[in-house]
Amino acid sequence: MRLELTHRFVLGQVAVAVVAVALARAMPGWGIPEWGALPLTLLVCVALGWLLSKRLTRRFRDLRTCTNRISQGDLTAAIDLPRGGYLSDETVDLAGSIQTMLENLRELVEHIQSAADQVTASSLELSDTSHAVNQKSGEIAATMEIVAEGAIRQLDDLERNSASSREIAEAIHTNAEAARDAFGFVTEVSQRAASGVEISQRSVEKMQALFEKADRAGQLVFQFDQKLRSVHRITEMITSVADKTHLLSLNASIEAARAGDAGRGFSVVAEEIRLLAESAAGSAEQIEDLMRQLEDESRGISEVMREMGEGVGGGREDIDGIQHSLERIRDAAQAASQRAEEISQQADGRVDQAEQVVLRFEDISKVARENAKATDEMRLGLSAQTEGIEQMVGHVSRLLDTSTLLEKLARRFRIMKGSV
Amino acid sequence: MDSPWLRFWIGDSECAIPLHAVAEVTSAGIPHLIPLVPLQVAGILNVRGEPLPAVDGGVLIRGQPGGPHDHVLVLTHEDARIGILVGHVSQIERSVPSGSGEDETDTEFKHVRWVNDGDGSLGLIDPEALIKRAIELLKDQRSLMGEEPCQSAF
Repeated sequence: MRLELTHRFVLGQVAVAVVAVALARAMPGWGIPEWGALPLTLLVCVALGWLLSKRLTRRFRDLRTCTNRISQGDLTAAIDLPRGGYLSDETVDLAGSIQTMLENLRELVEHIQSAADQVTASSLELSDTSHAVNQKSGEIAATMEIVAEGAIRQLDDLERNSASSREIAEAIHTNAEAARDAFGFVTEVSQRAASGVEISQRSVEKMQALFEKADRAGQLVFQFDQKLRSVHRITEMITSVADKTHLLSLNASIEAARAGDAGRGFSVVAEEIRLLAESAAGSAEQIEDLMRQLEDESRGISEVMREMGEGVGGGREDIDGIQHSLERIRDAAQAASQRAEEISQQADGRVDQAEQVVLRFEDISKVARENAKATDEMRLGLSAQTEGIEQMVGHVSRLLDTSTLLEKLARRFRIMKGSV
Repeated sequence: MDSPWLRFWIGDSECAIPLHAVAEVTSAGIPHLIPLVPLQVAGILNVRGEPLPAVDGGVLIRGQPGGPHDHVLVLTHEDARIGILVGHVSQIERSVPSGSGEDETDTEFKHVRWVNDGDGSLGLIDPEALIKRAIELLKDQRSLMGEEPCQSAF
């Protein structure tokens, strides 16, 4: 049954008034003077009023005690709700609300404590993780710096390699042109060698005819030399006759001189004979000089012809050697021409390959340039990320402080007995 | 002196000898060895089957061999007959060689008197002294080679 406090207060006042009236009627019967009956009645009424008010505010005191404990963080306080037999009033509603609030608060604090614990633990882990991430981020940033420098160096190297490959390609191109020139030159040499072989063959035929004529001339010179020797023997004989005639004329002159005047005519004849002998000797000597000159010239011609004959023999071998050499040169030139053509074709292929290499190097350089740019951007992003992580570490630190504070605050509530 | 002279060469030297002292001029053959006499000095020649001792003219007038010999002058003096190996007998002159200037007479070779004759000197030979010198030379050579002098062929 429900009885509002207002009703209870009114009923109390009525009860006090009833008691006062009853006492005022009974007192004279009890022999109590009138002057004493009033204070006594007042006293009784006050006491009754005090008891009734005491009884009326007892639940408020209990609720005050309970709320005091709650305000001090003790959520273990239990509120004794009126059991059956008691009349319900606003205090019961207040106690129920407080009880409900207490339970909700206990549940909330319990959740808060649990959450605070989890937040603290997570904050600690997050702090550790953020420190580790920060450290790793620094390491990554340092590594990224190295990577960025490496990318720049790689880019430089690639650009140098690209330039080198371009120079190599130009050199290969030059070599290809040289190979083409060499091919043309060797082809011309081959043609000229073939022409030279034909000319040498004709020259060999002419030289062989010339050699035969030289052999014939040598034989004629030998025959001429033999005839000169015969003439020389004849002139020797003439000279010998002239010498003997000279001696004969001398001896005749001697005999004529010894004969005195008788031998004068004979001396004239002897003198004429001597002059004739001297003339013959002079002619023979001139002939001998001419013969010597002819012999010398013939000897020179013979020597020349002999050398020519030796030279002809060697010349035939030389001509054969020259012809064979020219044939070998022609064959070698033809082989060289074929080889030069192959080299020229290969050089052209190498030029295409070199140009492809240059293009690939340029592509690689372009990619490396983009990589370097991306790496630089990544480095900048990583730097910003590092700053964000450092900020996050600060936030986590503050979060840890907050969670610690929250946990400390949540620990102030006791949600079960014995807990602090 | 109106006697004709015979001019001849001994090596590079031109000489002349009176024609009357010359018995004959022959061609110089191959001399044969005279025992104990060097062939450069003298040898034996075969002149129409008769042996003829012949002395190098250069040795006689210069003291050294006179080079190649073309002719032999056959000289006679008293009973001696000796050949002088000379180069070439050139000619007979009808008069005395017209030598001019200072005469040169070597004390060792008194049988030669050198006179100027145009372009060069001409050796005028005394035939008797030359023959004597030749005979002495042959004797000296034989004695030098270890044999006592003898009158044998000379």
